[in-house]
Amino acid sequence: MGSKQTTLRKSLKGENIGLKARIDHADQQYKDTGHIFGLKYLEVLEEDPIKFDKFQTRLIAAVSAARETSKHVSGSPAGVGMGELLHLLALPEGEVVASSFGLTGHVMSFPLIVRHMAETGLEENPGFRDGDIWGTNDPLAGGPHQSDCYTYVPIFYDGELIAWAAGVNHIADTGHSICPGGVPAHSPTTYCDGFTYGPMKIGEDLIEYKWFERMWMRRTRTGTLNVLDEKMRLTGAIMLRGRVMELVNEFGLEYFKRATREILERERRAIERRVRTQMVPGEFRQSLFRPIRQKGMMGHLYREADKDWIVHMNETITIEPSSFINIDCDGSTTQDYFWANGHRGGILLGMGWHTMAVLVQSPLVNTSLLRMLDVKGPPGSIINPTRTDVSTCAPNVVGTMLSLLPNHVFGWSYFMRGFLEESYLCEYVYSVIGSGGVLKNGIPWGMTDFGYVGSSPRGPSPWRDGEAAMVGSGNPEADFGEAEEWEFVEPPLTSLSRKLIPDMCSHGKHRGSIGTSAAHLISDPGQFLTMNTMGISGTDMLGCSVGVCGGYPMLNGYVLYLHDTNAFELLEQGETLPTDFVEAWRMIDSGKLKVGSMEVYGNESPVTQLKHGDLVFQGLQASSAWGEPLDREFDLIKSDIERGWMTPETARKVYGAVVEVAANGACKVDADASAKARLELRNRRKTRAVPAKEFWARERAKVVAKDFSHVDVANMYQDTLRYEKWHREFYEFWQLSEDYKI
Amino acid sequence: MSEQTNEGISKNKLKLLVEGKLPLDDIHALLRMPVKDADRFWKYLEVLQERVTWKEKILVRISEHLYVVEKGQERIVKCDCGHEFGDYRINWKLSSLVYARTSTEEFDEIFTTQNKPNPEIVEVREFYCPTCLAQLGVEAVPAGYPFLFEVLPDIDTLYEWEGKPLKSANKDWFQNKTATLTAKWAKEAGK
Ligand SMILES: [Zn+2]
Repeated sequence: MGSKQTTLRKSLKGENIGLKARIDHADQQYKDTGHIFGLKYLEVLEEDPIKFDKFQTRLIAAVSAARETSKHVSGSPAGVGMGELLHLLALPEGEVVASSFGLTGHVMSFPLIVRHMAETGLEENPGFRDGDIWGTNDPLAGGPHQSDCYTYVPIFYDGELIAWAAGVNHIADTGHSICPGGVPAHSPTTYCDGFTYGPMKIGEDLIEYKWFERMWMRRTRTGTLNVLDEKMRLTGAIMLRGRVMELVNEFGLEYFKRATREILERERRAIERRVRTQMVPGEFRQSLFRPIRQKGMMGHLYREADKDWIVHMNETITIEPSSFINIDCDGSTTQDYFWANGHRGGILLGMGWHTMAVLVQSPLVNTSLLRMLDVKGPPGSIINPTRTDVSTCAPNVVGTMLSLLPNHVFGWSYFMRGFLEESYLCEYVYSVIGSGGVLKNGIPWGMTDFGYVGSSPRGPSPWRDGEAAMVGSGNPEADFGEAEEWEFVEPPLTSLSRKLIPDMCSHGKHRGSIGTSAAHLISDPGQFLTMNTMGISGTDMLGCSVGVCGGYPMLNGYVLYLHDTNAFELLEQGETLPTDFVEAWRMIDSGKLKVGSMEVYGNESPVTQLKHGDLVFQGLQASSAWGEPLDREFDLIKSDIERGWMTPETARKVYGAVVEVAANGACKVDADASAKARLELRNRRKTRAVPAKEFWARERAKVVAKDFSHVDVANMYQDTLRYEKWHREFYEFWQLSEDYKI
Repeated sequence: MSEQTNEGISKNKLKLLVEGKLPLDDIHALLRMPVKDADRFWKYLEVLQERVTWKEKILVRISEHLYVVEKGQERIVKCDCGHEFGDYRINWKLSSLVYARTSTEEFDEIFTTQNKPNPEIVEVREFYCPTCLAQLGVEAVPAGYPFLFEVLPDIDTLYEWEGKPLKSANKDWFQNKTATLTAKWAKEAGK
């Protein structure tokens, strides 16, 4: 221990305090002054702004070069094709000063990892030394989920710890005991979560320990790819370390220290200014629901997890007078034996990468957002899990779902203040397919298909429709639809289509994006094949509770497994196969497509066995709409029909638009008939609706009688009403006495 | 580079933006502005005020059709059609018309592919203006869920941020008073 202590003192020379003390000190400075590191004045910036920008640009170039070069070290499609990779430079305290593009949200979770290391005494044992390599993927230590693996090296300059260089990427398979791939839909306990490690030292003198390579080979289904990914992360981190040394030599150590800290405070001020000058402060209530069904599935093996839930994610989002954004999740579901436990690294990751697209909008990705926004939930809830036995496999999913709601609020708030150009509904609705099995030759395999991660719809604005397959706010460098590349590593899955699904959208004045389809034909799967899916959009209950300004909320995702089909016979006869679930249903109904059995799910499908000739259809990414459908302009409706995105039947039924389609496809709106149809729809509202007071009295009677339509709904209330603020809101709204219990 | 000046967007262009008629190139120019026009909010209020037929001063727009306006000593929610919803601190949904879709047949009218919600666990509530019948809000929630109070703007802070505090500024304006109305209803019902 004695020599380690010496190393520690030496490593933090100049400060003569440990990492923990440094972090506490920085927190205190922020608390006391409202400025990161207490920086009231940005001295080196003001002294020479051009030099400052040059310095910052060089940092960004360094992290970008690390990423762009190292990704070619890996052979994994996640790294190369999707660019599911990020390199970042952090201060000793963990604050990220510069990051490449890629999985930008990680700038929010890496500081937690450094804090975890400080809090658990790792600076004393084994200590940090020049040339060390560290790694972790543990959500209890700040990581977002087991799939996201960090490799990082301390950067010492003249014996002093001055920064961390880190690489992180999403690996193909984590060795989860139930679901192949890396984003499991079902995980009853953390002991099923797959290979979980660190934070720990995984090498020294910039060489990884041999045993760590063996761990990847031994504990995951895609050992070779994961070893290559490990080398990729490390390569970038070492490159970055070298560049930083050069920069310190060029600019001087004192400049490096001061300028990196001023970067953070400058960016924090930019966010503060943006909120203050472009948004409307106030309190915004939002929530969303997600059913999780494990009853009958976990059976004798995991009795404690053999349950169904309606998971409640409840949010009160306050834009405070200080410009700080406070997200209070009181009333959310309690931690349990399911995937929906939102450990902090995952929550901040989700909040970070999506919110950044709406609030920061800058190539200067860093941690300053962490000082302008917080997400809180009562201990023991899914927002703040306290038990160590619950699964940690998907906090990133919880975080991403939670982030939809503040992003709605920000879009809404820009609109209220008059900055309509900035206003849109940012909804990152990814889904992943996990698959695995054993090939004919006995080789086991597993894989995560990211085809639906690299692209997301852009939600609508007050002035335009949502658009499909536009952005990947979680991974701005991704390319959509790497179908060919994925086929290479998923031998039995033949990709049939990537396309838009007509009529699959949330309706409104500006409709949500049209949903997209992925379709697969199972071909020669070998000894066995399983598939599972997991995603962000709604399951059976829509994607969020509140539609914006009278538009309908985000649609449910959809997964359709068709077993024992005549697909290959149809192909032999020269027939075409369906390219989305709507076409599949039509062909089933007409009798052309023969199906032995079928399974239908929302976003998350359990591990499903598939055979030669089975078909799988996914549909999702239909974002929320903006505004009242009857305000939609006829020209927009006409254009949707002309493009094949909407049928005339839907235009008539939802929008009251009477559109005639000529044989050559040309469309014409019948203005008189449409005006009449709209009037009818409006009048129908009048005959159906009741004054809110009447509705309240009727529904209150049901609440009092505990008549909640379904036992899962009653269970959701019974669980969540233990939380104080939500309890008060519910009891006050329905005017219940305190002896009322569900 | 004219969009880089601090003059920003003309009132006429803002009006087109509000109406959804501003060309995309102009919108992109707005998105590229490094510094936004400082008087945007005031121009926005002018544009909005000119679009309505009533005289009460708009304090802030809260949705496509709804505004918080100053009426005498009060701050109330008002629809562009003129319908008044009362004190903005009470969720306006309590003064609207409500229709809850609770069956597959009712869902079929608005969800137009197979991926519909399950009516056993979720209802889709539509909130209409009692006068013009515009759909002002939608909720997709389980039975028994309280109405979500979507937006309670902190108006006094907003006007402070704009550098022109309102004369009527008062701490009491920024609070949720929805429960006062439900308490009144419960009392009337003789609970
Ligand atoms: Zn109205």
